[in-house]
Amino acid sequence: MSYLAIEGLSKHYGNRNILSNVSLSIGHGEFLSLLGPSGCGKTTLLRIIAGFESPDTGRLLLDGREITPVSAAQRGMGMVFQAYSLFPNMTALDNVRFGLRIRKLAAKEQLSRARDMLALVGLADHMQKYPSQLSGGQQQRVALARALAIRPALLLLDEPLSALDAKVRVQLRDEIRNIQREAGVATIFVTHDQEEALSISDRVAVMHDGSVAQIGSPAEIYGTPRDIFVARFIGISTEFDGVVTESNTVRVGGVTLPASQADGLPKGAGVRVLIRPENVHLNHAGSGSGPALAGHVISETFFGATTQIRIELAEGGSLIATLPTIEAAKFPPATPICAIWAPEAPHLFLKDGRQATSVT
Amino acid sequence: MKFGRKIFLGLVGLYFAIPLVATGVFSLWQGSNRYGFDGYTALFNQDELWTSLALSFELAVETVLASLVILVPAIFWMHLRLPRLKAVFDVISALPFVIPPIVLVAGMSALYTGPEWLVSTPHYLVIPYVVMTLPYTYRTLDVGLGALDIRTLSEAAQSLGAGWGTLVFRVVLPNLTTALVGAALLTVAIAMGEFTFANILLFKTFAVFIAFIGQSYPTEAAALTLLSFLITWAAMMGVLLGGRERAEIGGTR
Repeated sequence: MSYLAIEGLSKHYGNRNILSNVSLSIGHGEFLSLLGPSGCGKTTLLRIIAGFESPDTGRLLLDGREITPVSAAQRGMGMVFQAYSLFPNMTALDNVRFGLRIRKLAAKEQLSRARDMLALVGLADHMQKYPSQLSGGQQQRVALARALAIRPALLLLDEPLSALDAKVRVQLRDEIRNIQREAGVATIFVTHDQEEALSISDRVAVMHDGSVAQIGSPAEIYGTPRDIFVARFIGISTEFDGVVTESNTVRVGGVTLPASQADGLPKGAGVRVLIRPENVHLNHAGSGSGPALAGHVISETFFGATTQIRIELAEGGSLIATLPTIEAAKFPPATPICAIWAPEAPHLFLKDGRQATSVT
Repeated sequence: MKFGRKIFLGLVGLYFAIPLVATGVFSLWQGSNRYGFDGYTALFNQDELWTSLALSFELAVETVLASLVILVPAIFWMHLRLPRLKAVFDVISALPFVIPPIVLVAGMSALYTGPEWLVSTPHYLVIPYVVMTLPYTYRTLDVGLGALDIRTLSEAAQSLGAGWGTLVFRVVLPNLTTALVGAALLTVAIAMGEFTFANILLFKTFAVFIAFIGQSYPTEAAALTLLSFLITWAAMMGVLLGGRERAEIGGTR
C-alpha cells in the first residue's frame, strides 16, 4: 500500500507549466529519487510535498489522510536543503534539538535524542561546534540529524550533496542510504545526478518538462527506458538512424543488424537506434562472421577497470564501446575493427520518441 | 613604498588630530596665558546641557526603536518573499541623501499636522530622524539579512514545526544582533548630532545647545564639541567592536 500518494498535481507560474498532472506514490520506508535536468519540476514537486508551495490542482495523501491544505510547519516532514541551512547562532546539538524543543519534549529526552542522532551521523565529537566551525559535509550531516530527530513522516532531500566535493559526496551518499534504512523512514531525494539516483534508490522517477517520464527500479530505468528522453538522459549511448528490414533486424547505413525490438514493427519503418557502449562487442576486422559495422579505433579513454573506445565507422559517424581494460588493450588506436551487438541490446525508438516495444 | 605609506597615514592623522588638539587647547584657555578647566566647570554647571543631552538621547532611543520596528519586518519580508522589490527599497532608502533637510522639514510640517500630543512635543522629531537615518539603518540591516539566506533558514525552521514567532525570535533576530547593534549605534550617533530639524522646529536638543553655546561662550563651545565628538566616537567604536566580536565568534558562515 502506498504511504504517500500524489494525485494529479499541476502547478504553473504565469504562462509556464512547471508540473503537469503528476501522479506517483511512495511506499513505507521506500527511497524514491526524483531525477531530471534543471527546470524539469522536480524541486517544485518536492516543495509542494514539503508544504512550501501549493499546487494549482491535485492532492497529496499521507497514510490515507489528505495533507494538501496542511501548512509546512504542521506536516512533520524532515527536510535537508541544497544550501547549508543550519541556524548559525546555534551549536550542532542545539540545531538538532530545535525541532524537539518546538515539540515541547522533556529536556532530558531532547538531549538524549539529539545526541543519538548526532552519533548516528558520526558527529558525536562535534556537538558543541557552531556551523561556521564545521565543514560542508559535516553541516549537511547535522542537517540530516536535525531532520531525522523529529522522527519525520517523510524525509525530503533537496540535492543535499550538490555543494560538496566529489569524495565527500560519494561517502555521504552511502551514509544517507544506510541511515535511511536504519531509520526506516520513507524518503524522497531530488537530484540531477543520475549516478547518485541510480546508486541509492529503491525506485527512480525520471522527470521531464513537468511530468514523470518513467518510474521504476534503477535497473529498469537504465535497462528498459520507456522513451528516447529517458534513454538519452540515463547513461551514455550511441545513436543511429535505422530502418526496419525484417522482423528482428534493422538496417543502419548499409548494414543489417539484429534488433529484437524491431519485432512487430512494419517493414520500412524509420527508427532511432540507441546502443549502450557496454553492449558493443569488438572484433578485429575480417575475423568475425556475419554482418557488422566496420571502422577503426580513433581514441581510448582509460577509466581504470574499463576503457572507453571511440570508433570511426566506415559508414560515417562514430560509435562508443566500453570494454574491460585488459580486453581494450587488443584494440589500440588505428586498429581496424568490426562492431556487433546482441539482438536484445539495441533500443529502438519511433519518430515520436516512444520505445518501439511499447507500441507493438 | 612602506615609507611613503607611513608619511601618507601620518598626514591623514595630522589632518584629523590638529583641529581636535587645537579645539582641546582652546577649551582650556582662560584668557591671556592662563589655562584651566573653567570652561568645563561652567559648562557642566549649566542645567540646559543636561536637559538637552537627555532630550537628544531620549529622541535617539525612540528613533532606534521606531526604525527597527518599521525596518526589520519590512526588510525581512523583502528578502523572504519580495526580492524583486530590492531595487525599489534601495532607491527609497537613498532618498534622504538627495532631499535637503530643509525641504524635508517643510514637507513634514505640512503632512503631519496632528495629533496634538505628538506635533507639539519634541518627540515629533522622531519622524524626520527615522527618515534621515534610513540610508544607514536600511543598509546595515539589509547587509545583515542578506548574509543569512533567510529563505532557506525560514523553510528549515518551518519544516521543523516553527511558527512565525519562533522563526523571528529564535532564528532571525539572534543572527542579526551585529546588524541590529550597528544600526542602533549609527542612529544614536546621527540623532545625537542632528541640528537642522530641531533648530527649525524650535526644540532645544543637544546640537541646538552646542550652536547656542558656540555663539555665546567660545571656550565652553570648544569643550562641548569635544564632548559630542566623544559620544559619536563611542557609538562608532561600539559598531566596530561589535562587528569584530561577531567575526571572532565565527559569524554566519
